[in-house]
Amino acid sequence: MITLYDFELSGNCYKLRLLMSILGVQHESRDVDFYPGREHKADWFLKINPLGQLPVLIDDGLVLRDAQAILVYLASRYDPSGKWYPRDDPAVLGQIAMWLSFADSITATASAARLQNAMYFDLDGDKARAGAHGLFRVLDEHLWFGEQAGRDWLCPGDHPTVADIACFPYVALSEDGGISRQDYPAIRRWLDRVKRIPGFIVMSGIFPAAVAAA
Amino acid sequence: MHNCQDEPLINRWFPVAGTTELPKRHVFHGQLLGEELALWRSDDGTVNAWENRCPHRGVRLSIGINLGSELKCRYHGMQFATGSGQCTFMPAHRDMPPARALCVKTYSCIELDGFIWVTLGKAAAPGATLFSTGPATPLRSLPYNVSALVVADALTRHNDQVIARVQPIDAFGLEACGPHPAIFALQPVDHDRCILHGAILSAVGSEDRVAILHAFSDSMSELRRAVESAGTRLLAPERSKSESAYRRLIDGQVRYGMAA
Repeated sequence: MITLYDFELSGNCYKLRLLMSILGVQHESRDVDFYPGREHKADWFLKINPLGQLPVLIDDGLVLRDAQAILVYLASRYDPSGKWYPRDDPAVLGQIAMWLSFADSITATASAARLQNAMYFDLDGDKARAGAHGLFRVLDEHLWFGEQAGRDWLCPGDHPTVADIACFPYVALSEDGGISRQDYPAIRRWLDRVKRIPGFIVMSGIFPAAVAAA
Repeated sequence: MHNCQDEPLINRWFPVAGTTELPKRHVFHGQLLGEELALWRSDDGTVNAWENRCPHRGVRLSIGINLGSELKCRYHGMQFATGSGQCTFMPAHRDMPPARALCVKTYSCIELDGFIWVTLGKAAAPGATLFSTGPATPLRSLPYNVSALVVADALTRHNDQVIARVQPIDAFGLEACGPHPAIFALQPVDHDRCILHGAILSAVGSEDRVAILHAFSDSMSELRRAVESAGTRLLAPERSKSESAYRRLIDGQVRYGMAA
């Protein structure tokens, strides 16, 4: 059984629950009191992840930290279709890596604004919001031109990848950090598409989409 | 469309989205002259432009659920009918007919020439728009965190670096005569934000289409970097900061200063 060191309100923990739900992979969550308890900095947790960050996933003795790395592992190990992390095309693989890195930039900005706004972390919220708006402009343009080319997802192909799962949570939670998505209509449509993936689950602050028209 | 420059802004028609921006079962979040809008298409194709506020408890309808012929508020599940905005169903009082007063504020809107057009006032729907000159290819609409005045001024004054030879049509319409002639229309979001909409005045071949759209998008982004770095911060401000500036804007007392 997979163990996920988990915090309910973390977007980076949620993206792992989300992919495991989509892939039908069972796991058990071990709750870490990230806020207000700061348990991710406790001695017992630093032995598991010396970086003091959530999430951590343990599978069959393998200990992995970093949400994006764990998405790559889960898709490679538990998706027999190979569509969530396709490895046969170097161009696609490069683009997936690019958007996984972009997801880290979203964490550093949109998630930081949310931590400052909703959990009172000592961070520069205005700087984080400005950074997130800069990234969202890039993302919105990419998705708008994707729609023009008939591409629904971040990377080429007719199927979503781990890149979509990696970028989704902190975009969908941005308003908790005071970052409106009014200026990003292509992002808003992409959020609806992600929410319609079979097996999609919610977390606090993320609502399901309307059922697609018949 | 005849958007006379002397017409108060509230009575004028503005583009607020491209027609492809409103797929079925989606709610588009827009804003015009400070007024937030929830725009949605019903399954029969009708476009609704509603005040972005549930008449029950005020929650934004742009986070609501497009059920196909009703929009359902996310908060208490009240459903409002396409067209009228009238409440048709209250989950907590399912045997009670909803009060007539429980109705979303609706705005006039039309879908014409590739765009959704809205007026906050009572002006009759136009039969034609700036783009009604023949086959047109809509561009990607781009939001700017500066007033429509600043963008119109920059387009006409500094057009040689950005979009060749832009001529004003009226306060909100501009014509560009580059290799691909285009028309632009400005949507005042509020007093210090706007959206630049545009269309190339021809049907573009499918092999060139994306490259041309990218070229326009790059030019419009270049213009955006220029006008925003000239003193306006990147952060999108929340709603209108100054009620008096907003009032002057919707009363039409602020002229979008362009030489005719």
